[in-house]
Amino acid sequence: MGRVDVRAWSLAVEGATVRSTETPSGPAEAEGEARPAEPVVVLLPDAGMRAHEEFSFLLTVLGRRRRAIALDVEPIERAEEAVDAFARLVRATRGAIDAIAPAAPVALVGHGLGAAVATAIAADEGRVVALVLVAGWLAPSERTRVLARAWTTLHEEGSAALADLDALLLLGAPHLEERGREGLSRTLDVRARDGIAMLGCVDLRAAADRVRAPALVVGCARDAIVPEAESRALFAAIADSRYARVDSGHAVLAERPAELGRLVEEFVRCPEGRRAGAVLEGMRP
Amino acid sequence: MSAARAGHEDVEVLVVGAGFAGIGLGIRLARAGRRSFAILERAEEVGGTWRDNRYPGVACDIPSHLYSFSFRPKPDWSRVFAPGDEIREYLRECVREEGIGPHVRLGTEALEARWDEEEGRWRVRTNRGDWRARVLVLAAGRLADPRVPDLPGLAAFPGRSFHSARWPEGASVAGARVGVVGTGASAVQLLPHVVREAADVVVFQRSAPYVVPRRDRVYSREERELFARDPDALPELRSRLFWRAEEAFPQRLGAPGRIDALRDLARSHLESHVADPVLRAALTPDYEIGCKRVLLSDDYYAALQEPHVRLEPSALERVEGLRAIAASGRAHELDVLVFATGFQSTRPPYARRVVGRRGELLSEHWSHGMRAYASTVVHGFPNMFVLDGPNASLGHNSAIFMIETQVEYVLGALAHLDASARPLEVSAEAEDAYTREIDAASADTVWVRGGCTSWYRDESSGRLTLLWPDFAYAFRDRNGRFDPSPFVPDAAPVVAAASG
Repeated sequence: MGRVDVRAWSLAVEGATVRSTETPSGPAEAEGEARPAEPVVVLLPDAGMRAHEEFSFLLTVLGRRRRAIALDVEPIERAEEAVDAFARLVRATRGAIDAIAPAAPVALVGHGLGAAVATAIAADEGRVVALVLVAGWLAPSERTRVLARAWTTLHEEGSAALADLDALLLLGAPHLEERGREGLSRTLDVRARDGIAMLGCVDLRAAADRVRAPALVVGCARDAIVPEAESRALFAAIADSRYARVDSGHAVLAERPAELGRLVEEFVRCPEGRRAGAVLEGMRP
Repeated sequence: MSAARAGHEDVEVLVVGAGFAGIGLGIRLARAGRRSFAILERAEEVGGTWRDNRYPGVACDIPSHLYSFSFRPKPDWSRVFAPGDEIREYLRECVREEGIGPHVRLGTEALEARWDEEEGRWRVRTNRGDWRARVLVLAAGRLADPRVPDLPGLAAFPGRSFHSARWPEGASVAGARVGVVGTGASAVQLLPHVVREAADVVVFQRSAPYVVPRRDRVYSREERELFARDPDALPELRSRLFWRAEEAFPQRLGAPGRIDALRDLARSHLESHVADPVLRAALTPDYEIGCKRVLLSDDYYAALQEPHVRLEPSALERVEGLRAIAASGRAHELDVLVFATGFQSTRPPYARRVVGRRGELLSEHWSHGMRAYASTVVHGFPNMFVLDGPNASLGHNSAIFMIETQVEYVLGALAHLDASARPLEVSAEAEDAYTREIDAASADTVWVRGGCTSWYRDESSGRLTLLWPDFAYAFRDRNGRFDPSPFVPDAAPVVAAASG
């Protein structure tokens, strides 16, 4: 209906194919009410996720008041090393944003691998005015290195157990119990494998140190892929950041999309609304 | 509690209605150490809509661990959707255990509430004496006054006839020929029970509802024990239930994918339960899902297909003796008529009894539909708060969350009034701007665009006046904290008010 209709198209950016899904711009506020220029919200998905699926809920929520774009970026050439592949992904994503939203202020929202890409872009991109890092990490831990290794090995062996294992890693126990795999959309393809490999080796300490944009870091209390402690480390590393915790597994967009939507909407509307260093209290319904 | 003086009782806060809203506010007032308040209740018992609705099968459509006060959790709800008598008992227990019983005046109906400009007080006339209060809280509810269609011949119907919310105590329909009028939330709950007893049943359907699986279940003994023992278990469950319910809101915006999934769920529920193509067609709604309340039932369609049950796919139009005649022209001979036809929600009768500044009736102020700043305060009606009134209901989440939000707002206003002698009157501009915001936010919702009529919208203006057109959390973020800035700066008593 009207403003929340989404459109999707593909375009070729230098060295990558990009599929973008977006809501039309245009405020849903009463006519005649002045509203300061809103940034374009760009949503970056986790490894193996399709942006339009993973962010379908957030697109609706955020797109009610501003332009919101979910981006799938796939570099055409694959790199041997995961660190190089990550650098390519970051470059291609920057290129895609330049092509789709040239010169506009941008709010970057990333989940998992998407959060890593967003952190890397925000380190060097002045027009990022708000940064939301959901289930993101600062530096690989021993746990994530082991996890990435085990995951990619099972993938290379074509293990039938991988789908089950992946669901266990992505979902918190209460969600799995009450709703099964509802909302889960990871495709266990080569993109997912490359993304998981990046989880085990991408170190964002230098990038996080350079981020000047106000950031909201969201950690997931039941995250078995990026343990909450690693998101908290990211919160501590970014100068102008605040932290919120959601009672969810890694797949927070499947488990708690509305709670995340509230956090992101409020932050994007007013990034400086909460002081740097604050730990936000969740709503107690 | 109250000081009797010069023929009236005097309190700081006078609350009208002892349902969920009135009781919730009463508990919070008492817990805050406020003693000067009274709750007027016209019935002989507390419980609001749960006291009134005692038809067989009555239950809540929101999970009970969410449809209860956050500040008074109940670890031993018997099932996900508790039956009505369990909710009624919960409310009674709240009153008893929180010690607010002495503040509740049963059998006391507020007949008129009038703002006294000189005293800066509300004067409230009841069937049992008069009251004077600094603050008036209308917590009279929206499911309080049954709406029974004014049908030709109904008054002379020789059989029994009653509204679902006035089901006579212990009344049985065994062996009777029963007409159930309406196919809303009450009807789908009571029909399976009526069908079990009655000899013959006709269901008058003006428009077909969407029905989705109920997914109810009992809580096991271990679960209930865990909720009682582990202090984290209930808050975690409540949060999960709340945020899960919130996921339904984008459906109301018609978000592609979301609304399709919900419609598919309802359609497949219909298709798997109703094989007959003619009946299935008659039970297929002709408007978008969510425009009217989405109903939860696992046994409604089965009940409709019992051999002694007929669906009359048109409205009941008139009554001639025992014959109930539908808009289709078909006549059905009946012994009992059950009106599951809803309530006077968008035009609450209490508004005709409240007189604000300059003699303005609240119902006049609301002549184009209910409106209030923060969904709670009304220009021209100082020191008055409306709970569960304009744009404070939800189609997708718990009413108790909304009530608690408004109660918090009222407590903030009371704290403000503690430090100020001036009455609080919201400015006309603030009320207008808020109303414009509501109208704009409603414009892209399924309630306005879904091609149906419903009790969510004002009949004459078409405005969405009952529902809050956003996430529930947005209501709390927007309206959960009292802010004095939109109030008239100098609302001191105007002695020489111009009269026209």
